[in-house]
Amino acid sequence: MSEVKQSDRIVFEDVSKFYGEILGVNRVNLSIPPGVTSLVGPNGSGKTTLMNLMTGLVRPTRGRIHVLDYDPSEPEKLFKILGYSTQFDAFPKGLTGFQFVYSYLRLGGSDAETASQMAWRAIERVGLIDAAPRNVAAYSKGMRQRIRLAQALCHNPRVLILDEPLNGLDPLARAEMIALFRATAAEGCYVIISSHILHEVDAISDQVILLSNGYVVAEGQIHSVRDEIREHPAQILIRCDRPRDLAAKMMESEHTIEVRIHNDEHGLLIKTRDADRFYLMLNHIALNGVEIESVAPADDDVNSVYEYLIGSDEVAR
Amino acid sequence: MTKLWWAQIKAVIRLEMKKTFFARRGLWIYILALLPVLLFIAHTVIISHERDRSHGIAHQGDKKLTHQDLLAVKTGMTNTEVIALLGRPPERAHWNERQISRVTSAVSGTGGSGTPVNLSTSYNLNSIYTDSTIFKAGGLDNAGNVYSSNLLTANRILNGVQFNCGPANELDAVHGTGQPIGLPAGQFASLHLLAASAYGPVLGQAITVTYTDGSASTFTQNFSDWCGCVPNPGEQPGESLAVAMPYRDSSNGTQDNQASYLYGYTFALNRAKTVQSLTLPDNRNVIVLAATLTKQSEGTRVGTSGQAPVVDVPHENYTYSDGANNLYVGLADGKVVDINLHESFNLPNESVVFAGVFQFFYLRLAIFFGCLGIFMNLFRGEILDKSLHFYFLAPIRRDVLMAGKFLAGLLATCTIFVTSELLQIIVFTGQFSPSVRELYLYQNHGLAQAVAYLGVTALACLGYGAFFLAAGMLFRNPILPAAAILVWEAANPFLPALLKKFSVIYYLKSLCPVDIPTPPGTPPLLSLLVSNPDPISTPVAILGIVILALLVLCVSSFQVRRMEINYTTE
Repeated sequence: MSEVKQSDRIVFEDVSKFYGEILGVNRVNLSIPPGVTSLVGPNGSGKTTLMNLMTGLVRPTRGRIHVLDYDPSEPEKLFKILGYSTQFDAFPKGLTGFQFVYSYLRLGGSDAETASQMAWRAIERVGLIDAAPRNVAAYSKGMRQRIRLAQALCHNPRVLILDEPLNGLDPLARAEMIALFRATAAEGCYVIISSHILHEVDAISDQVILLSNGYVVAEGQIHSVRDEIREHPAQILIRCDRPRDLAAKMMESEHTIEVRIHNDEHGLLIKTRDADRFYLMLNHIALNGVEIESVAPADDDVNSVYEYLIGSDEVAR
Repeated sequence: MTKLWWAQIKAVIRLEMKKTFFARRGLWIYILALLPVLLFIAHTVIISHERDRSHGIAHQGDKKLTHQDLLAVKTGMTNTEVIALLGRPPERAHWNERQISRVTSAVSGTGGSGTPVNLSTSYNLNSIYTDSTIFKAGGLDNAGNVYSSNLLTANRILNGVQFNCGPANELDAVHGTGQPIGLPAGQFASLHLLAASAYGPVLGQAITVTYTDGSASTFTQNFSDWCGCVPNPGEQPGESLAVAMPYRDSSNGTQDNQASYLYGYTFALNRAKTVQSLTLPDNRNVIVLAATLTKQSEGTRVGTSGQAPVVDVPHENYTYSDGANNLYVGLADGKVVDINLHESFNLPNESVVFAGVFQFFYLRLAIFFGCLGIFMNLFRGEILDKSLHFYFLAPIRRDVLMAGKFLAGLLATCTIFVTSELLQIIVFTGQFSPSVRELYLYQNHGLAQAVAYLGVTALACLGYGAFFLAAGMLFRNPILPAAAILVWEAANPFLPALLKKFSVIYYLKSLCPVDIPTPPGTPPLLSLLVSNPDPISTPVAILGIVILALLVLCVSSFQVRRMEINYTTE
C-alpha cells in the first residue's frame, strides 16, 4: 500500500473493523473531498462504524485512516479541526445545555470567556438560546439532537461528522439544519452525514457513499454513480402536448425498451438503454413540432441507485 | 503545553467533582467515612457521663480522696480497714451467695462392697490434680481444668458401694471412645459408675455391657456437666450427686471458685449371665472416673436427694472516686477479694484504641471501599451511563484526561476521608479535659500522631485510588477485581518479601504512628495480621507508595489510549 499524501481529504486505506467475530466494515478504501458527503445504508450497514473510525472512538482492526493530515489516534489534534455529533443519546449528568457546550470547550483548553462566547454562538446557530439554561435531562429528543450539534459546531471545525443528524427534528428544524449543513459545506468544510432516509440525502449531498453489510458498494456524485449502472435502463419523464406522437417516434429507436403514457395525456415515461442517444433523438423530434415542456430523469436519485445496487429488500429495511 | 494540560485537567476536575460529591450512589461513602466519627462521639458521650458519675460519687464520700488513696486498697483487707482508709463508701451493694460446703454425699473410705473395675489400662485422661500443681495436660475439659485431689480423695463409698478413683497427677479417667473395657468375669446384678460430662449436659448416651455369650445389655443415660450447668447438678434421670466440690484446679496451678461435681449411676445387669466388657459411648465429653460391679445383696441406698449442702456467703461491693478515677472494691465474707481501679483516661490505651479503629476499620474498610466507589466509577461509571464519549470527543490527550479524572477522585476522597479523620481526632481529643488534652497533644506525641494519621489517609487514597482507577478501566465487572485487591491486601503479611512491595497496605502499616500490641497467647496467624514485623522507614514508605501509584497509573495511561467506545458490548 503506497503512502497517501492527500492532506485535503479524509482517507481510508484498506480499513477493516471487526467487533470480535462480528464485521463492522471490511476493506474500505475511500477518499472523501470537501462538501457534503452522505453515508447511506440500512441499519447495521457500517455507517456509524465508519464515523467512529474517523474520530478514533474505535480503532481499525486493519488499515489506516487520515483525516486531512491528522491521525484519529491523536484526539488532542484531531478534535481541534473536527466536530462529531454522535447518535449516543446520553449526556454527563447534571449539566445544562449551555454547560454541556461550554464544558466541552473548556476541556479543549479554551479560557472561560472565550468558551462562553463560542458556546452561546453555537447554541444560537442551532436555535436553542431559550432552552440553554435548562438541564439537558429535561430536553426533548429534538432539542438533545440540536445541543449535540451545537457541541460539534462550537469550535468551528473544518470537518463536521453528523450521525443521523435529522432524527427527531420537526420539518422546520430539518430545513434549518439542512441549510446549516449546506452553508458549512459552502465554506469549504467537510460535512459527513449518515442517514438511512434516502430522499433527505438527495437534497443535501454533494456525494454519497453507499454501504451494505459493512462494504462500500458505491461512492461518488449521485449522477455519476447512476451512470455507472449500465444493466438498468434509464427512466426519463417527458411532459409534452402530444405524448402519443412522441411515443410512436420513440418506439422507432432500437434503444427504447418501454414507453408509458400518463393518464392525463400530457406526459410519458420512457425506458431506454442509451440515454445519450435518446437525448439527441429528442432534440430532433422537438424540432419537428412536438412541444416539449420538460424532460427529467426519473431514476437518477439515491433511492433508485440504492435499489439497483443492493435490492429492494435492503432499501425497505 | 503544560499550561494547556493544566487548564484541561482543571476542566476535568470541575466536571468530575460535581458528579462525585453529589452522586446518589456516593451516599454510602459518606456513611462509611462518618461511622468512626459517630463511634467516637458515642464514646465521648459515655466518658462524659462516667465523669459526671465520678464527680457525684466523690462528692458523696466522707473524705476527699486522691488517686494515691485509691491505690492503697489491697486484697485481703477487711471491710473495716477499707472504711478506715477511704471512709464510708458512697455507693455500696451487698448480697449473699450460696456456696457449696465441703460436705459430700460419697464418703472417703475403703470399706464399701462390690468388685471395683480396674480401668487403669483404659485411662486416657488426666482428671485429678493436687492443688497448686502446674500441668500441661488438657485436663478434664481439655481446657486445663481438673478436679482437686485435695477434695476428691481416691477411695469413695457411695450407697455402700466402693469406688476407687485413679491416682492424682497421672492418667486417671476414661473418656468415651467406643472401645470395650474388660470387666472382671462373674455374674453381677448392677454396674455402678462415678462419671460426669464436660461442656454441658450430654444426653442419650449408650452404655453397653457385653456378656460372654455374646449378648449385651444397653442403657441410655444422660450425664450432667461436671461444673453443674443446667439443669441442677445430679438431677438427670438415673443420676445422683456423688461428690460436690467448691472449686476446681487449673493448669497454671491456681484454683477458681467454680464448683465441680461427680455423679453416680447404676445400671441393672442380667444376673444369669457372665459379664465380659463395658463399652462407653464414643464421646470425648463423657468421662468415667470409677466403675464397680455388685452382686444383688451388695450396697445400701442412702438418701435420694443428691442435693449438695450449701452455705450463704455475704458479698459487698464498694465504689469510691477521687472525682476522675473510680475504685470498685469487691468483698466476700468481710474481706477484699477483688479490686478494680477504673481510670478516667489512660493515654497509651486510648491511643491504641484509636489506632485499632484507624487500622482495622478506617484504613482497610472505609477508605478501601470509598476509593473503590469513587475511582472505579471515574471511567466504568461513564461507560455504564454511556456518556464517556463526551470526553473522548474533546481535543484532549487521553492520558491528560485520565490524570484529570484521577486528581478529581483523589481530591474528592481526600476531602471526604481526611475531613472525617480530622473530625475523629477532634472528637477523640474532645473527651479529655483541657489539661489532659494538652498533655496528650504536646507531650504524648498526639499532635504528631494526628498529622501522621491525616497523611496516611491521603496516601491511602492515592494508593487505592490508582489501583481502582486501573481496575475500572481493565474490568467490566468491578466486584471481581475489588475482591481480588481486598484478598491481596489482607494476605500481605503472608506474601514473599518481593510481592509485599506491590501492596498498598505494606507501606501504610509502616506509616501508622501507633503500633497495636499483640496480647500474649494470640494465635501466630492473627498476630501476624495485627503486628508489623518488618516495618520500613517513613521516607521509604512514602516513596514506595508514590512509586507504586505511579506504576499503576502508567498502566492505566497505556490502557486509556487503547480504549474504544463500544457501549453495546458493555
